[in-house]
Amino acid sequence: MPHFRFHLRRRGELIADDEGAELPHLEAAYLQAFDSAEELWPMLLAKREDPIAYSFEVVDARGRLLFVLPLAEVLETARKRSPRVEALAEGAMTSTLLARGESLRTSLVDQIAIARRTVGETRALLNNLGKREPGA
Amino acid sequence: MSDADRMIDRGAAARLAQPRTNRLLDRLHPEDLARLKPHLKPMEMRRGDVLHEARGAIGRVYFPLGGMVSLIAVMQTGEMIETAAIGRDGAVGAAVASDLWRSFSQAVVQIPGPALQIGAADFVHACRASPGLTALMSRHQAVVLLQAQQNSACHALHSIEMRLARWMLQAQDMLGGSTIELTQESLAQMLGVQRTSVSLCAHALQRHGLIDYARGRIAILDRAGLEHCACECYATIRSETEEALAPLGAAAM
Repeated sequence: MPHFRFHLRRRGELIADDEGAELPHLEAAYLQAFDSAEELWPMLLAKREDPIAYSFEVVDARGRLLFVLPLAEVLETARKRSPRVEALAEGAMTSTLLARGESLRTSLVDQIAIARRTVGETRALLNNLGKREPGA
Repeated sequence: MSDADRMIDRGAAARLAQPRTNRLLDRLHPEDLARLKPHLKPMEMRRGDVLHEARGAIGRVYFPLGGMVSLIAVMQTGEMIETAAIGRDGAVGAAVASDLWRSFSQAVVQIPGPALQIGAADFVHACRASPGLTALMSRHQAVVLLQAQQNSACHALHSIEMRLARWMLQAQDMLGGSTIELTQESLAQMLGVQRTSVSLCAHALQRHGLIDYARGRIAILDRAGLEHCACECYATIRSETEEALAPLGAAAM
């Protein structure tokens, strides 16, 4: 199994993971980094430290950087996961769509009216042109 | 076996010499010890050996002469946490003395060391013949229960850093010497946390000059400082264990 190291960076400081872990694949490493990030949040907050200042730098056995996971990323999924936030977001989305649909309908009606007027005016102009031509 | 485990096993030979005795056996009346002695067989507990499976039968009782065995609660998801630790001041599987033939938790060797083992039936036979032996085993079971009770409070109320400091102190008491050979992964399993949390907490303790933790080896540099960082559970478990191991009958006086 491939070996991964989860270094933790806090601005300029790097807390090196000298032990690392053997995991089946990169996805498992990402999930582990994510679970770790979730656990670090309350731990850092309790110490009055800012979790957003931290990020995981996950490297392979040769030390090549595979991905960076800022602790802030946990918040992103928390926003997606929270049913209340999701419901609110869904509600907001629905009313936005309804409002947009309504405004599109209104503007369509307006556009049709404008088009009808334009067509009417064009016809009138053409008629006038036809009347004038024989006498020209 | 991971690299860190291999590294640790190489260091096993260099482990500090510990007194090769078991404090429970030391406490026995010579007559009771004579009952057990013909059945006690020496063995080596290797890292990762499972002495009893969770909810499995207790076929043998182990008296560690060194090293450390964790009693682990394993969840259906595979998550685990240590509920009690047993070293040379205890026995693994002593519940059979109270007619409990199944181990509730998984007993895993965390730190290798020598032990004496005895078949559970022979052990129970000796206990039935001796109220003194039965009483001592009941006391030991009470210590395990006390550890589990204190641990459940500790896991819910105390920070990972405090718990890590406490665990290191307890391990040092159990093992003697100033270094403990254990990977962050094993420590994380025992504390029921992510390995990276152990890494961060150990880094903090190291920054304060209390420990040195590199490549699976923990060196305790400032014990008093570490005691200051540990939660109250360390002192509670230590004093209660000592009291329970006091000469039989002392508590009644």
